[in-house]
Amino acid sequence: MNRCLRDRTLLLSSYGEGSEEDRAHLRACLDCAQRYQRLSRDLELIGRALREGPPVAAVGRLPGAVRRRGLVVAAALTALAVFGGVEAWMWRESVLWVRPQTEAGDADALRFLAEVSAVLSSTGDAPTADFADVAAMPETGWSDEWDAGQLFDYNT
Amino acid sequence: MEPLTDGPSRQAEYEALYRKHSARVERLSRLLLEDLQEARDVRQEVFLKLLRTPDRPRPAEWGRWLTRVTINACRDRRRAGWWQWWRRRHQPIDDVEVEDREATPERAALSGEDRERIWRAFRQLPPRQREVFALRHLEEWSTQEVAEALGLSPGTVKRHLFRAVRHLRKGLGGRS
Repeated sequence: MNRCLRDRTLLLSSYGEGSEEDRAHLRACLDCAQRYQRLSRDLELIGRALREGPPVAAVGRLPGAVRRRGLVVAAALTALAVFGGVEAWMWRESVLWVRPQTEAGDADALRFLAEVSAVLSSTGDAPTADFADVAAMPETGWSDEWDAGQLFDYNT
Repeated sequence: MEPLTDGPSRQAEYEALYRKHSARVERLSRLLLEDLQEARDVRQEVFLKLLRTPDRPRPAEWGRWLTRVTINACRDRRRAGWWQWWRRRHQPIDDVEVEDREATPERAALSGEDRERIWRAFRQLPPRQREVFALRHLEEWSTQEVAEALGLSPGTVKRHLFRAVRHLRKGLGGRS
């Protein structure tokens, strides 16, 4: 009797579904009576607003059929854009795979490989000019005990 | 309530039912669907169904039968156009369709701002809460009747109603 009513109980009372005890409390408790009054007023306002229909608005909406058609068109355009994007990406990837290498690049690489191969496979019997060139490079930095030029004297 | 009879009396009876319930059916549909055109379509659909069901077992009360058919028709439409419903649910209040009506003292008493708030809050309610609130508060059905119509328990109806009212009052914005 002394405890104030919960909001839910108050709501049920406003719909005539409260118990006799709840009604007795409402008559005795000023706080609950005020809460009940506010609830009733709000419910009355809500009911009236919803019965009257939506408020007047500044901007009218497009008819349903037009909105539906617009969405269908937008969806179709999006699908087309995605499909086009995927196709373009796949085409670009395939071009990279099949594109022929440049001849100049191949020639440089082959020449370099030939030089390296010659140096690695050389036994010293028939050094090539290229090998001499390569071997001569560090000459200036070496000690007096021997130099690269002497190393290849037999060639001359 | 007796079944609709055949012949001229049936036609008269149908017209009487239409006059009595068509506005209510349209209003309920509009509350549940938020679209005047869709609500009018539902109203037509419901009364067409009423006309075309002569052999079905007659409901005890036509008004409640019409309400149940209306709710089901609204559900079907909402399912069919869920994206449209979702879009409207998140639509700002300013984009709502204009309905021109005469201003009355009563309408003036309820400020435009209040109505906007209430409708904005109502749009945010889940479909079930909206149905429960519309039937219990606006149609003034009893909790038991709402529970039977929606296939819920009375406790669930009360819970939905309480949540709906709490949300709507919150939307009304600290008027207490």
